[in-house]
Amino acid sequence: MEILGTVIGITIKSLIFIVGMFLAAAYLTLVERKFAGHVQQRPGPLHVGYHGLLQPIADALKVLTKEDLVPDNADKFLFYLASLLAFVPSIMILAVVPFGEPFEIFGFTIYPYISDVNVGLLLALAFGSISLYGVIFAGWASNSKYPMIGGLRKAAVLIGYEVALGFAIAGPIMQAGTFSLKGIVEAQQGLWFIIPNILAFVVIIFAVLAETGRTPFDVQEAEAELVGGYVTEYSAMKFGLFPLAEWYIATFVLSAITVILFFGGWNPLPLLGWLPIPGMVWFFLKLFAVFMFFLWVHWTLPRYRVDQITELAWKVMLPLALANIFIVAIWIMIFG
Amino acid sequence: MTGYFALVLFFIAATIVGVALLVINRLLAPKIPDPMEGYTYECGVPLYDKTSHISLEQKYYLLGLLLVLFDLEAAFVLPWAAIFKAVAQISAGFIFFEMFIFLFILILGYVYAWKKGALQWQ
Repeated sequence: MEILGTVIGITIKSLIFIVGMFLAAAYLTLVERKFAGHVQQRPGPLHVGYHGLLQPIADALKVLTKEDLVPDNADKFLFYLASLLAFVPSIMILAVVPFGEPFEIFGFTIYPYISDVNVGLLLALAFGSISLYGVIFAGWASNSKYPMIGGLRKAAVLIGYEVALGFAIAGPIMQAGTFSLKGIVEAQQGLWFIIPNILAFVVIIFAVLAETGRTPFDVQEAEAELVGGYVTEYSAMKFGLFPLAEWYIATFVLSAITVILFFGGWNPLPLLGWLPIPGMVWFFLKLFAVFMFFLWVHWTLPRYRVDQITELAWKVMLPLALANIFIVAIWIMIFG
Repeated sequence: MTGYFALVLFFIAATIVGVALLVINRLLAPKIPDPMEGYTYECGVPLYDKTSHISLEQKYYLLGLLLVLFDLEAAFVLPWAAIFKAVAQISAGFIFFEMFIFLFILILGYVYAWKKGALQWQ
């Protein structure tokens, strides 16, 4: 009976996290579209609800009631599997992200995370890599030129940044001495890991932009060249899962990982620890700031060419990540 | 073990939600067949090649090979990083030079790949 209780408890909690993430992602679309609108000096969504507040619901209904098309030439099983493979791994990262310390409400202890495994960071990295299969399968299964090229480009870009990312996370791990994301936050109660990991931070910013396909690195769907990239043949909810997973869920959780690695997670800002603000609020403030930074980059910069991006990954980001390991090793040996 | 168990349950829940979204779409959406709706996207002209499953360019293969190499190296660096602080308090020089001999060999391979032009997007 005890096991059954645990199973039901965890399942309900998982569903709360997933549904919460869906609602957050829905409203992040509105945030992004409003932001993009004002960047480009237009109002953005305006007519559904007050200043477009109901726009995400209208979008969700629209994407759910569109005809479910599969091209004749496509590999039907892979075609459906691809959108699941893009969506499930990105939301799986959410399971290892801790949003705060356990707290008590009405006598119940509430853990604001699904699981705190001691290899949390490695799992996050692994799920990030698996979501790449969604893109490749989408390109291959569509059996059409544009999705194929888009999928391959994204794969080539991602594997370059994957390597740099692997070496860049070594810096914070060296300072914290653990892979557990909770442990990493607890190790930052003094100085945040942005010092001396500034090089790793730069690498991770680039890697997140590449992994979520945001603009300087959105070669996979470069709309002027590839129509819609790997989602060209997709329609309805199969299509909806791709931008939802990549642009919103992945950006959100990877921003959370960035905050945890470099900005002290739910620790308060320096010199502001006396304010009566709970840790989770600090965490979401920082998370939102990092998320808005990615949006800012996305809607400001033009797109790079794919050869420039892969060469940047291998020739600049990888040496930077290695140099970061060296710097952090010396830092630890001097300051302990 | 509860941590991994929770991960498995979360995975199942996420998959069910994903599948449910696709199924709901299939149930709600209208089906209005059109003779050309299953046609592969092209700019309004008939398809020249019926399939896009062609042989890939060599550059992708080379990058994939490099990924296997360097990701394995990263897998060796990460456990070292996890114990670095603890061991550095006992004998800092040992753990430092141990890894930097390893990284030096890695960098030699990296420089070789660079000079051979493997990092070039051909």
